[in-house]
Amino acid sequence: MRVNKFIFPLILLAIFLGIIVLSMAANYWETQGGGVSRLGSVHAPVTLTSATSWLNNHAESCYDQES
Amino acid sequence: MTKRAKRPRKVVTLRRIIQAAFVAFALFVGARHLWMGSGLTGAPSFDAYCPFGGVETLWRFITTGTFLRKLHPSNLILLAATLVTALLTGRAFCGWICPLGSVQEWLAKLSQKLTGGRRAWLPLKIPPAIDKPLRYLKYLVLGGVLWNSVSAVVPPLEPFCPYKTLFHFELHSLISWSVFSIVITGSLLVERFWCRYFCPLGAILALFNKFSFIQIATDANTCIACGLCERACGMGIAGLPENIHHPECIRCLDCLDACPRPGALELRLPHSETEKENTGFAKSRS
Repeated sequence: MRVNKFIFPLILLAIFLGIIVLSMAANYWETQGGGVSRLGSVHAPVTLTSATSWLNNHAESCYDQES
Repeated sequence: MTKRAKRPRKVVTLRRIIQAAFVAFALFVGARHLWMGSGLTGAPSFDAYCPFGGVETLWRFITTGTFLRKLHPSNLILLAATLVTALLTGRAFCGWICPLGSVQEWLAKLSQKLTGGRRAWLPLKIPPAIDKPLRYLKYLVLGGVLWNSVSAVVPPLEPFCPYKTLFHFELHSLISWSVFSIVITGSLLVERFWCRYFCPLGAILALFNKFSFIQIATDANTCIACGLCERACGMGIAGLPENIHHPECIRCLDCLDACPRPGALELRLPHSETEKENTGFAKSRS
């Protein structure tokens, strides 16, 4: 079956960008960390709010361990 | 009065637009990171948008579930997207999406214009005896990166990567300056210098060209062996159109645009009729 040469790039872009968009919709897309990743890695938090809450939780857990 | 034959529409304009869009995005990412800085309130660095970062951190991710420094899940997702497109379209990522490939292509076009247009002496045509062995260098680069990624903390290619140096505006070390200068000068002399000889991602994607779902097929009955496709090939593949499934083909479709015979070169799904005819192409010419 023949594939039109103008359709070829559209297929390429649809697949490439489609996978990225799907990963974003599923909350897997991370470019800067943000707590515990859905893929399993631990990153530094992204926003100031999440940073404060992360630090608070971390401090609490350390305090619990000491006591 | 005879009606003039309709000129076939060229796909090259569409390719230039798509390439420009990805280069603009890469520059935007680099500039935003430069402007906003890194850290909690900063913008993601260019490293997060590199599909080869996925290759570099793959071992670390499989064995420990963590990432090399500066790399994130986005790298693995971009790698997956690149590999899926390679399964369908071969090495088309290099020809249509990769910003570094586009910049190299434009540099080669610039050098061609500066040295006399169509009769230009640049970019150079490298003799096959030198060109062919040099193309295996990228597999050595890939092997070296994979070997080092096992024990790495930062991405092994990062200090040498021209992709990052170019779009991250990061020219702070002698190594990055050297690699950057070599790639820019090389691209002015030889079209897609880095893609041809050094790109480790290109080395991976080249393996997909033989069995990708969409292939370029040659019709031996229609082809007049004019050699225009070979002349148009930016990757310098010799022996076209017989050699159309070459691992170095980046599916830029410049050969389809250059072909004067409608139907002689076409994009096809594999194992179609023309593909079968193509197997007898070399025999019919000999």
